[in-house]
Amino acid sequence: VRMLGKAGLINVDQHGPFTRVIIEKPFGRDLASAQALNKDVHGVLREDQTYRIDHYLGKETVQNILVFRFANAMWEPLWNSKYVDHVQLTVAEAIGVEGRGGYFEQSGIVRDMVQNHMFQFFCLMAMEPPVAFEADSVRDEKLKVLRALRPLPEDPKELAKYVVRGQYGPGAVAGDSRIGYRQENGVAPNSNVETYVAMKLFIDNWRWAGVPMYLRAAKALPRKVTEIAIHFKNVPHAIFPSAAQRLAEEVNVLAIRIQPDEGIALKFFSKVPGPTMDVLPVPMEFRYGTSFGAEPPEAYERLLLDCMLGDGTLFTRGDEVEASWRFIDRIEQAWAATQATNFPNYQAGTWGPKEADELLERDGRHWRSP
Amino acid sequence: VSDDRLASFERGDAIEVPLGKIEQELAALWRRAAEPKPGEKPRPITRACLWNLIVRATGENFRAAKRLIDDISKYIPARVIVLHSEPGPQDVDKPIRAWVEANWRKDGHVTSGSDEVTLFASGAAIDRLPSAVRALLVTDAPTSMRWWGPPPAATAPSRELLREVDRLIVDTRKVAEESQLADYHRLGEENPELEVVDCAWLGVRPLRGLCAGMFDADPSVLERIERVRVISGVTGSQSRALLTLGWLASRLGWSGVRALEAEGKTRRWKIGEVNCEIETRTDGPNHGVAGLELESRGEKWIISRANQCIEVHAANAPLRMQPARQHSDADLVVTSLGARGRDPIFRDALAIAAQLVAP
Repeated sequence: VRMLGKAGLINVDQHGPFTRVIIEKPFGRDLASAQALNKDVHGVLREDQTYRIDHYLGKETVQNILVFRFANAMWEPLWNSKYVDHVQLTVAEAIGVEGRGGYFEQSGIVRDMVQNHMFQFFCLMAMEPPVAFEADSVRDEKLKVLRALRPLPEDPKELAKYVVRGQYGPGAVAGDSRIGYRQENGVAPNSNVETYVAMKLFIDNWRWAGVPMYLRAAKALPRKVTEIAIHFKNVPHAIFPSAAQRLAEEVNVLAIRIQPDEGIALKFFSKVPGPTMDVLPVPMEFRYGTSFGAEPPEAYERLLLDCMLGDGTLFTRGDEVEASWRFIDRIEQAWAATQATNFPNYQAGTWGPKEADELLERDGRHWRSP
Repeated sequence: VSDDRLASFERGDAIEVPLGKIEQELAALWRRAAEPKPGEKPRPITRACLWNLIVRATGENFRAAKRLIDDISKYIPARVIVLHSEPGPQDVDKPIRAWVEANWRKDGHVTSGSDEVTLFASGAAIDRLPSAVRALLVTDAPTSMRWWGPPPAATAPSRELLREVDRLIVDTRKVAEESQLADYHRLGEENPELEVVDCAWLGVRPLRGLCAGMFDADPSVLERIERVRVISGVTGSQSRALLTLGWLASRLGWSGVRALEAEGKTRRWKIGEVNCEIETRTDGPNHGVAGLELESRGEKWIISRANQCIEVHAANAPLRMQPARQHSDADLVVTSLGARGRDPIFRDALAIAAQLVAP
């Protein structure tokens, strides 16, 4: 960017022809480097000329989170701690590092997935309604979510009650054999880098007070899926004795599927036809491919067009990036200070380490299999 | 999707697909199937799924399993995942093969169907079947598994699958050894969240209802039962008779099982203070429980089954007769996927039955 400025390729005159620069992730590898990068960029470009791209924001389903929440009147009354028990966000990759071992050794799943993609759709799910669908209104609301995140404990032992890390060993994914992370090219045989993370977060604001947000991102899981699952609270009083157990164990779930099979599914309970009051969960599904007869376009198509049109709504602002690094830094620093002694701690093709299951079980909950 | 493949899919034939492309192939086939044919009006097609149903079938029972799935699919929309495995050399690692097909339910103008995926593995590839299943389970639908044979050993790859399963459907009528009742009891104890459902147990449900009904007028008699005799009309596994005894003992609070010496075709136990017997009679109707007799202070309560009807002789009550119904394997599996598959009484009955077959 500095060289672009020196070469006179940046036009900062707002009335002349526009110059916009798209910057691909990773934007820094911690708070300090992100701040330094922002300083360098702002030495040459105005913020409104800077387009920090996160291709997840170009996905139709991610954008649809806003439409779903703010173009439908029926969800907003339910979208808060009164009705939501907890939220699960999953970014699962079936693939391993696939020849990117050298890169992944420097990043790990938290830097590669959570700080950017995952926090972006997490913010869209949790934020307050923006006053308008325009860049700064939306980005202001996302920033408020990041600022409201309850800071994680600094002590590694305490941190482990909120954040679990994992690394895959050899196994099989969807029927195919898979080598372990430490056997990948470019990966140290005693690597301490995480390929799995699960965390329990809280947003300390009026809407989400006391609602746990469980996030997990990982490689070499049973299948590729990215989704947000809103788990609603149980009914307050069970009136169907034959279904009481099921209704106590299971709840309504609204799942926003970001990829693949982009769409939205609502799990609710229905009476099974017959003389008894048997109850079974049934899914009601909306799929982009089925409803609109076409698959959504590639994320980058939309984002590149938006940049050319000067619309930064689906790009991240400098202060957002810094706020997310500020939160992530504490995890990275604690992990850098303590070696993971149990790696690899999950088999490729399974849903992760048992410590991640325990993270939810301690709260009387369990991960859903998305 | 070619026209040939679409035609096969619409006929319900199996179509081989690459293992890594099962979901894409199914999605494409369903999409094509829903497209209106030239000159036809658009017709709604529903791809339905209320259950994930895993059916494990080894070489000899593969065909029976496929027939069972065809029958079940008429009543329950489920994504069926058939695991077909054959032993082979462990040092030969052949890839898992996969087929997809649709189980159609066509009713007037409404057409719905559900997925069936068959996975075939041999040798070392069998160990990878659980990972393939895990990738195929439909989210938010409960998962059941129809299991043949003894419970999977603690180290068997299929044991991994139990972690994904809500309900395990077995049929102890067909086990080679009655001791498997104890194995299944142990499996249930080790996995408290796993619902173990036994087709044998569901098969004796009508008999249990009739038996309980005999004592509606004076339930206090049940506290004075001195002797119970179950007549079994089948050879091999007597699981239905054993579960019937287990049911009576667990409901009536008899505890402490002591095996007594068998006499001919009659096996005997003392459960608490009650003398219990299972007598095998192969000259009568071919049923797991062909008769049930309870005795107290010289009075008898008897249920006896012929091929077409059941006779109920309650002490101090007129003889009642009612038609006997046969339940197919598919009926029982369909029932096991309903509310009756979730039966806490079964665990108690199985616990006592397990004690009855203990060496």
